[in-house]
Amino acid sequence: MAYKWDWAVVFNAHTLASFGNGVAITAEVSFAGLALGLALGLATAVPRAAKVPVASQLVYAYVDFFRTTPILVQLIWVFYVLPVLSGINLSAWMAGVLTIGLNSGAFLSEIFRGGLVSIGQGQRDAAQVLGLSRAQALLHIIVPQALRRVLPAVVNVLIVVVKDSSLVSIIAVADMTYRAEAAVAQTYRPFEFYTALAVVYFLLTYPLSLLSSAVERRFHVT
Amino acid sequence: MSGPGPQGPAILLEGVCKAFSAQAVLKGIDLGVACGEVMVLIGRSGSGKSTLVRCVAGLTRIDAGRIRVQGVTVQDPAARLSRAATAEAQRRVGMVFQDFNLFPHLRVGRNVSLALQLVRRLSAEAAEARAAEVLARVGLAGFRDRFPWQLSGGQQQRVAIARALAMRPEVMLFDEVTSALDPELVREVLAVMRELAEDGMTMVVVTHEMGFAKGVADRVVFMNEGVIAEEGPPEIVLAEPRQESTRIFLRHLMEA
Ligand SMILES: Nc1ncnc2c1ncn2[C@@H]1O[C@H](COP(=O)(O)OP(=O)(O)O)[C@@H](O)[C@H]1O
Ligand SMILES: [Mg+2]
Repeated sequence: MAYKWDWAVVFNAHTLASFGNGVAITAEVSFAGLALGLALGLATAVPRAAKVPVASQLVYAYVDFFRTTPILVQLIWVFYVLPVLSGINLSAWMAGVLTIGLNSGAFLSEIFRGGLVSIGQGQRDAAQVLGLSRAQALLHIIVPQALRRVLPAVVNVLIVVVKDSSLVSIIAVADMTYRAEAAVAQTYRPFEFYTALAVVYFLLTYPLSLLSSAVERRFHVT
Repeated sequence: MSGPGPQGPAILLEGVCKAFSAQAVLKGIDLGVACGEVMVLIGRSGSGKSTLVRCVAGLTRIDAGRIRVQGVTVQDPAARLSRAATAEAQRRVGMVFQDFNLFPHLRVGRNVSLALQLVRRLSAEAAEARAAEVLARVGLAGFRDRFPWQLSGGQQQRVAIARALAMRPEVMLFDEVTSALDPELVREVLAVMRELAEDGMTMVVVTHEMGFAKGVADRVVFMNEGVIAEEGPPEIVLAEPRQESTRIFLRHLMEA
C-alpha cells in the first residue's frame, strides 16, 4: 500500500498539548468511574453474598440490567433520558462517570460476591468464637481476604473501564478519543490519529495488564 | 455424670436437640462438665460430636433444650435471653478447630491480638504483650511476624490454641485438632493441651487419640447416633466398656 504517513500532523506542539489534555480527561473519567464502580460493587456485593432478602433481589436486577445492555446505550440513556425523567441536569462529564460507575459496578459486584462467598465458613466460625461481631468479621477477616483473591479480576475491569471510557467522546467529553476525532476532522488524517490513539490506549492499559499478572503471582499463596 | 464442682458446672447441657433438615443429629443430650474437668468426647464420624461442641461455642443454634455456661444460659429456644449476658458468657468459651482456621492474611501476632483489641478493647501495646505471652506459652515466641502459611501444621494449630487462650477463656473446646496433622506433628499439639489440662483448664476434647484420653481425661464420653451411649473414667470406658456400640467403635479404632 502506498499510503504516505505524515506524522508531523500528530507530533507538533499544539496537537500534543491537546492530546495530553485528552489523556488527562480519559484518566479522570476512568478513575472517577472506577471509584464509583468499586464503591457500588462492594456495597452491593455484601447483601448479595449474605442473601439479604429484598436487597439482594434489587442488586440482582441492577447487575443483570447493566450486564445485559450495551454500555453505549446506557451512556446515551443516562445523558439524554435520565435528566428528562428525573429533572436533574447532568454535565456530560458527570453522565460519563455515572455510566461507567454503574456499568463497572455491576461487573465488580459479581466479582466481589464471588470473592466473598469463596471465603470458607471456617473463617467466619473462627471470628465468631473470638467474639467478633458480624460487621467486624466482615471488615477485618472476610473482605480483606476476598479483595486479595479478586484483585486480578478487578484490575481487568480497570482495563475495560479505560477502554470503555472512549465512549464518552460521543457525548462530547473531550477525552483523547474526542480530541483525535476533532483532529481528524481538521486535518483529514485519520490513519495517523487513530493509530496514535490506539498506541496511547495500549500504553495506558498494558501496564495494568502487567500489574494484573504481577498481582496474581504475588497473592498466589493464600 | 460427675457432680458439679463448688461453683456449679462449667458447662451444662439439658435435653439438647438439634436437627439438620429432617435429620436429627443431637437427640436430647444431657451433659455436665465440671470446672477444671477434662472431658474427652469420642464416637464414630457423624455421631454428632462436632455439632455438640459447636452448639456450646454458640456456632450452631439448638432446636430444643438448654445450654448453660457457668450458670448463664447461652442457648434456650424456649426463653428470651438477654443478648448481652449470652454474649458475655459465650466469650468465656474458646474453641480450636480441626483445620486451624487461622486468618491467612494476618501475621501470627495479629492473628492472636486482633480480637483482644476489637473485642476485649485492649490497647495495641497491651494486646501485643498478651499475644507474645500466649505465643511463648505454646512454644512459638519467635514467630510473631510470620504468616500462617510459613508455619508447619503443628505450629499453626498451636497458634490457633494461643489465639483462643489470649481471650482468657474459662472453657476450651477442641474439635479433632490433631486430625489434619501429620503424625509427627500431633505430639507437639497434644503436649500443649496436656499442659493446659495440668493448669486446670476446663476442656472438652473431641479426639481419636486414645493415648491422650487415657493419660489426660478425667472422663470419656462416647457418643453414638446423637445420644450419649456411655460415659465414665477412661480406664473403665476405654478398657472395659459396657455397651456393645462402644466396644465396636474401639475395636475399629484399634484396627485403623
Ligand atoms: N451444617 C450442617 N448441615 C447439614 N448437616 C449437617 C451439618 N453439620 C453436620 N451435619 C450432619 O450432622 C451429622 C453429625 O455431624 P457432626 O456433628 O459433624 O459429627 P461428628 O463430628 O461426630 O463426625 C452428620 O450426619 C452431618 O452430615
Ligand atoms: Mg466432627
